[in-house]
Amino acid sequence: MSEHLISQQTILLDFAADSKTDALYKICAHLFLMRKTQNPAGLYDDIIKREAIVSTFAGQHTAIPHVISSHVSEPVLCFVRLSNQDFVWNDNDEDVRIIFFLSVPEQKDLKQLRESQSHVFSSIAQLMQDTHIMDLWLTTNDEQVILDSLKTAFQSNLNKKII
Amino acid sequence: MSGNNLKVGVQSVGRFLSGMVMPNIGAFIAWGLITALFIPTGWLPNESLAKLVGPMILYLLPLLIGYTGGKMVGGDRGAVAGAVTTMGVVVGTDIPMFLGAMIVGPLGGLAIARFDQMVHGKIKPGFEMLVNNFSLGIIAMIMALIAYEIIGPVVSVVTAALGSGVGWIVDQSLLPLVSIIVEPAKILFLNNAINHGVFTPLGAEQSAEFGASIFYLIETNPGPGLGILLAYMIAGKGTAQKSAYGASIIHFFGGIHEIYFPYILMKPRLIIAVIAGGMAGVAFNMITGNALVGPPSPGSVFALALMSTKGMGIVLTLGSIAVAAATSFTIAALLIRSDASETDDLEAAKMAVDANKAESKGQAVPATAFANQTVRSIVVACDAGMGSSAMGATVLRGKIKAAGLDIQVTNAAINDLVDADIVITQQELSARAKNKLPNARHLSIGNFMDAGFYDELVASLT
Repeated sequence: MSEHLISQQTILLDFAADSKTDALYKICAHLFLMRKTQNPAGLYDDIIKREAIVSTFAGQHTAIPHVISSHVSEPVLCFVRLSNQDFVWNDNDEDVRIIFFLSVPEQKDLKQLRESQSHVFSSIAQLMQDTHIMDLWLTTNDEQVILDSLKTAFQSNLNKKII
Repeated sequence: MSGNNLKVGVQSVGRFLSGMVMPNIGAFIAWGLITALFIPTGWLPNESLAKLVGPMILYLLPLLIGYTGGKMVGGDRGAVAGAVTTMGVVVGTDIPMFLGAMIVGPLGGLAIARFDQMVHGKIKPGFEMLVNNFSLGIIAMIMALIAYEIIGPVVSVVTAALGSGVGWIVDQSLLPLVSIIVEPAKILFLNNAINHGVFTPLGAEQSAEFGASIFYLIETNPGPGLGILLAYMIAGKGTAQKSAYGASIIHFFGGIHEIYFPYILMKPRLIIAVIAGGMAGVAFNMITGNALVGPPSPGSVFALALMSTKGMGIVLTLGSIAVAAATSFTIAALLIRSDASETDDLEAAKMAVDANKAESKGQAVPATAFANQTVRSIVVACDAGMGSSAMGATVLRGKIKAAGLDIQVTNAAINDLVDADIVITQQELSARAKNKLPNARHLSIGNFMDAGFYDELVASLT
């Protein structure tokens, strides 16, 4: 599953957006181009609804919008780095540079779904505590480096669960 | 075993009662200051301003207690029901209905809480507001009527019975034993009822004949209460200790005895100390033949000194206060010391309040808030249970592990919450989480990567 979760095509560096909604809209559009969703408007509605419940601003210049949506057929994660320095998530000085966008298809057993997906943000949280990784994410121009850092963490967390 | 259960029972009742009074201590102080200043025997007698005294003690203070009692049982709706119900016991008596308020306030809260449980999920969408307001109004009305018809009279009977018990002991010339009834009755806020209902008339009779009466010195002696507060200052800890300084001034110089009652409700065993202190004071006055010429009101050291008989009277009166205070202090200090390992309820209550405040602001918990509780599991919860909460749980788990604590940290969706000692959610979701798991401690966090929040939480757990 994690093979398809994130790829170079869903790592977007130098992403320009004026606002949270603009960013989310453009990410949904990109996922449509990448054939990850057939209904970008539906996906956008879902993510905005989720965001309305409570903001996904995660501190350290990061936001983690995520949603369970019927408009994707398999889990997909985007890494988005914003190019405009003045981007804020919620108008409250929530300065955001990096967006992790996760969308997971609906599934009957919600609990199992959560358990199978928790490792994604769990890994991201671990990585965010490492200042070297944060620097790397903020500066590198090589998508593969970001991809490797994430995949290594996902893999190690998944293995831990099996043991 | 059963003795231990009884002890736990008494303690939890005492804690519950003091929980109703403590948040309102400020109102007691306001009333106490107004009383001490403006009543005819006060420091700045003022007929007009003294009009505040009666309605405040008869209505305001019992209603606040009933409101708080209702809130403890039934939340905000319970608080309103508690206050309305309290009105039932307040009206139609001329004694301050503290005891009645402490009984019916929580009952009012309980009634509405039970109703809410019963209809939960059964109200048609769109009618919630209507049902909520009218159910509260109707239930509170019924409870107020019950309180008025049944509970008010029962409390009046209990008060009268205490009065006749005191009368009987006086008749048997066992005056020091009267403290066994008087001191516990005072703690239940029957002090004015006993003093003005029993001792003042008895004293008036006696002083008309002999020019002075010992009855004026029984309930009014500030010594036993002073002993308790001094013991808290020296042997107590935390907030109870710090607040005892101010309380002792209001009690001893202002004569507002009500201020020390919660300190006993908090540790009901201290009742032994005030009884002993009261007995020592009465015995001292009996042996020396000391008496007061008139009723000292309020029961401050100044009022007692002013009412002392000429000559040695003032010295003996001060002596009886000192003897009572010393006795009560010695016993109370020993009891508080021996309790040192137990949680200080006032402290715990205050921390709970602080934690609640912090919660509502989305701030971290104050350190040591959990020091005396066993925390085995912490759940970080969010809407879906896979995003923010997974991040939060990961950060917290790392910190808990680094601190060497044996606490399980998991993440979940709020709807899946089943069991946890502490639940951490984002502010906007805290209300939902509380509904789902009302028995857990709930903390609110601004964002799930807030390391400072977790550091403080871990510090409070170690």
